[in-house]
Amino acid sequence: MLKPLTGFDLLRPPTLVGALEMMSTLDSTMPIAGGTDIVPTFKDLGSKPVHLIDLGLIEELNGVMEEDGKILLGPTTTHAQILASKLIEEAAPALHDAARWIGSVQIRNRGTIGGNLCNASPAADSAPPLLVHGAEAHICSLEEGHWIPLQEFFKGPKMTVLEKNEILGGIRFPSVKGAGSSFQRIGRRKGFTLSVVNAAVYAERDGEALREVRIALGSVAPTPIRAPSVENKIRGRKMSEELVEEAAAACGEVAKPIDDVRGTAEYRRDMVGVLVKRAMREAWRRAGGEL
Amino acid sequence: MDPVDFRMKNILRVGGHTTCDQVLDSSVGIEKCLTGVAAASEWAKHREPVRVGTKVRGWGVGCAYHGNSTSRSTPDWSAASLMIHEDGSLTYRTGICEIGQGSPFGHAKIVAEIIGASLNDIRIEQPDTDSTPDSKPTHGSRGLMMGGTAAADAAIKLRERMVRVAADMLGCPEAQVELRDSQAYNRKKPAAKIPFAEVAEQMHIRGENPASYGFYTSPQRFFNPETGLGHNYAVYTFAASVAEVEVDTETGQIEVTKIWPAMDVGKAIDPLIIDGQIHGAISHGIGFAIMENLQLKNGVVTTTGFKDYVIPSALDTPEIDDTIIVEEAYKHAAFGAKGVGEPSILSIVPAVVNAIHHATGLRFSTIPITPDRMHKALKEAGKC
Repeated sequence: MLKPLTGFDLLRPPTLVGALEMMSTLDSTMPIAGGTDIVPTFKDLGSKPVHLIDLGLIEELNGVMEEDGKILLGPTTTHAQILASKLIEEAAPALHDAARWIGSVQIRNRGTIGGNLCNASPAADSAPPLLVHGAEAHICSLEEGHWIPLQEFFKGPKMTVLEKNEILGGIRFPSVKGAGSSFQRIGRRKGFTLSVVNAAVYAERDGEALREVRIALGSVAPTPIRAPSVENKIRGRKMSEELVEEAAAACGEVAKPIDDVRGTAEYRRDMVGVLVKRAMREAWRRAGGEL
Repeated sequence: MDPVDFRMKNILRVGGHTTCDQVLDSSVGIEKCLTGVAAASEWAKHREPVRVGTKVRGWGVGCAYHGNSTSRSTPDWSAASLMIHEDGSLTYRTGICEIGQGSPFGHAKIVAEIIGASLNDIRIEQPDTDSTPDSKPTHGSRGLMMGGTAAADAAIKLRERMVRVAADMLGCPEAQVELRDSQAYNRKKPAAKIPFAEVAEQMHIRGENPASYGFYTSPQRFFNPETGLGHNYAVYTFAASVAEVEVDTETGQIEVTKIWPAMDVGKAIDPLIIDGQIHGAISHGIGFAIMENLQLKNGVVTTTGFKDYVIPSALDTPEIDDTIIVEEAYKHAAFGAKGVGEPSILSIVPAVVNAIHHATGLRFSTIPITPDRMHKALKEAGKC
């Protein structure tokens, strides 16, 4: 039987400062954007009243823009907005790939990039693309905000570094001309399903060599992870099918997946290799390379 | 041997014996179904799997038959009631429930055909177990076959009284009365016509019962649970399908890309409803074959919601070829119609699993063939 939703107050501050003041002063606060992850959990919270702070009216938190060689993403930017953004398609094709397959049309219209990151699922599709693009997260509170590397943002499954009085105020990453990236995932059906495993690769080209390469993996550890040991092994080397195989095999070693209802650890480990290969080839091609 | 040729040698035909040793005396349409899907899918051209990049495409065929009625030869019957009102409209009652499958609408079409009423004039009442005639359960693909035949019985009885009154009103012999479009005509003088409202009003005035009760009992059957032999069902629906799948040998992911369905429905009362049932069953069958995986841990279900218990979405629905409808009428049912509900899923699962075998050479004895199972099998066979 469906349980009734818990009682809550929905507060809709029009400014970021207003939201942060509410976060600091009220009890049991929870920021909400699209609500696609939070609302289903209400059924498990019993009747505990919650102050939901809706960030949807705060204009400065929404949108995609380029400034001083960096792409800035507002946390309430929806997956549909990302999918429609030419800027993202060109500067971060892996993020554009990921947005295409997150949830369903309805979820992509409601769900936001900030929400996807703050939900901190190991399988979050937007995390690996942002990790490989060297993204940083802006931690906001009534005190002065600060930027941290995105990989430090995740603490564990459903856990982030955010304190009670803080919200994720923005995401930024460098816009690099000529770079390519790709995101690959395996779901259990074509759409509207959590990733069993996912991966993203970022590549910069120097002729036939990989000037820079970054790899991120999802759903193979308690948080989305980078694979620096593999990156260091292949950075600067001449791109080849053998290098792709080598990187894929090494990523299989980095992954520490578990068995769960969505798939076995063995399957996930094997698929990390397949997805890294596919992503690496595509990132290379998108960077203008041939293989 | 070619899988279609193998089936052609073994399928049931009139005079053949089922696995329970029942002799089938009529309404056996599997040969036409199988021939139909083999031709539509150009089966002979698809005898070699085709590799495209990391994917291999394969084709498989599946056959099915399914009894109409409650199992184990439980006595089966169905009742229905029909009433014509003074405005010429009708109320139809059946205990067969509308659960999205469309059976009661099929009954209404049967009634409309017999009475000559416009479908819009027939109101199907929601069943109430206190007052609706007992039609036995809405299960066993019996809703249309059993329920619709009771509907026909009620309609034939009401029709006799309507014709009797209309003949008198038109001043012609009963044999010349035609009921059509909710009006009564003299077949010899079609210009003379009387709306059902007037016929119904006269039925009330003259004491012709405006309500009728229909009842149908299935021919007696028998089943021996000790031997598993017997005359289990009075009639069976037959189906065949061809499936085309693509297996990604790197990831173990399977996509069903096309289905060619055929079904012997006895008589297609409503082709659109048959398509609806079959299209839904294709989605169900794909879920059954490659996705839906109820998992347990220490006896507790761990796939507790649709987030974890994955069913096919619209995106997973393959191209579906036009349904080949075969009509080998069942002699005891209204217009010869047989049920399509459950039979429509049965041939899909073997067709998909056989197509996977054709593509990969691998046989599975466990479904669903999820990507991790497929990948493991490919790995063990050295095929990925």
